[in-house]
Amino acid sequence: MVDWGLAGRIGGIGFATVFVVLSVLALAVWLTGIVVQLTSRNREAPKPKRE
Amino acid sequence: MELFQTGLSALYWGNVLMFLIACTLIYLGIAKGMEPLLLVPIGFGMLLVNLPLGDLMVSGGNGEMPGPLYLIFHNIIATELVPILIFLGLGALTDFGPLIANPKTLLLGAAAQFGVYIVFFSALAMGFTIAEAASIGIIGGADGPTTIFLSGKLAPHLLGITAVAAYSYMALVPLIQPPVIKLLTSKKERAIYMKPQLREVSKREKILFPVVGAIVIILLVPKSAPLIGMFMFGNLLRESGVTDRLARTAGEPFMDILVILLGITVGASMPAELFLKTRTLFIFVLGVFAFATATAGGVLLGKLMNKLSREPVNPMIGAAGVSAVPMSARVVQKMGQQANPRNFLLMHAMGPNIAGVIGTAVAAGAFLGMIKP
Repeated sequence: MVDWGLAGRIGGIGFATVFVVLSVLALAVWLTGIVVQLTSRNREAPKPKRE
Repeated sequence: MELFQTGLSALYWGNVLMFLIACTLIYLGIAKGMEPLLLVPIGFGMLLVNLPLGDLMVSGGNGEMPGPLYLIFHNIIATELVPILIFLGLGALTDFGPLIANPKTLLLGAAAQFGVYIVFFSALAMGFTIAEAASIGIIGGADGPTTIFLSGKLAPHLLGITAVAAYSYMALVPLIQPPVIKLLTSKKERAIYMKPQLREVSKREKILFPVVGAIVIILLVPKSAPLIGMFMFGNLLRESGVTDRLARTAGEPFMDILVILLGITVGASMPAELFLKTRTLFIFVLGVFAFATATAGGVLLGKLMNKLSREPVNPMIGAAGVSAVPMSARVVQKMGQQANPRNFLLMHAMGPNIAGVIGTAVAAGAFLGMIKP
């Protein structure tokens, strides 16, 4: 006999986990992109000349 | 002393039917160019094992040596070894640029795992155990190595069948996906134009991605570590810029050796006695259903994204969320051009495509975390 309660938990938690993990990863990738772009922009910007 | 015996005496209709299936796979690979690297070795392995008395897959015992393909299958393929090493090679071949440029496509890779869970429940309803149902459901992830990895752990007796189903259907993605996409989208939606250029991704972002990705995913789903760890490691070899030799070896010769061993032994794990059973046919039917529902899950989220997003999103790119890299992305590209010749969706579809690989590995890890074999 299939334990449908257990199966429901495995399926429900599993699918939700996939969404949560990939959402967190998407957020992490987006934030990393912003930080990298900001730091490289600062590095590329010419230093102001002293008068 | 035993007299010389030809295979003809042991041949039966089941073998002949398997010859036809094997020859169809070889034909599709060679004549139609459908994933020849997979279908040719699988088809030939299937042909060899169904030639009676060849003993390529006998398990041995009673003073007899095991068959050579049996030795390879049970010592290399049925362990975790080959799937995770293939993931190393895949990582070394994968350009995460399209995914990093558009991280929200990761969600399309998640949505396409819908097929995995729908088929998990369908398999349970058909009388399979929870561990077997998970191994069958993962076929919907369209990822051969992950299917072998999970089946090997949860339902080793189904490994050959699930692997053949996953690899065969991966090769048949150009036939399975278009009707589902057409069913769920209007012509107007399929013609939605997306700008061909994604933003440029810097080298530093590409180097950071495998490190950040491994930390985030493995911390949240530790059981996905073997697959995700190797995938990200292979990618770091590629992107670091200082380990080109290792990346080339992992992605080319090493990967080729693994594919040869995997293809021929997976095919050889399908003798007629095993293949021509009702349960096996159920698994193959569930496999197609898994691919179709996975495609549907991605397309439906693509439609939702198009409604919510400021930039237009062609919902077809969601179909590429089933991993099958790069076949499903190619399907989307082709259908996109048919609907609107100006459209060039390949790069947009590669993001969800790669996300699908990650999503399936996460789904496998989630199953492993909750199911005891």
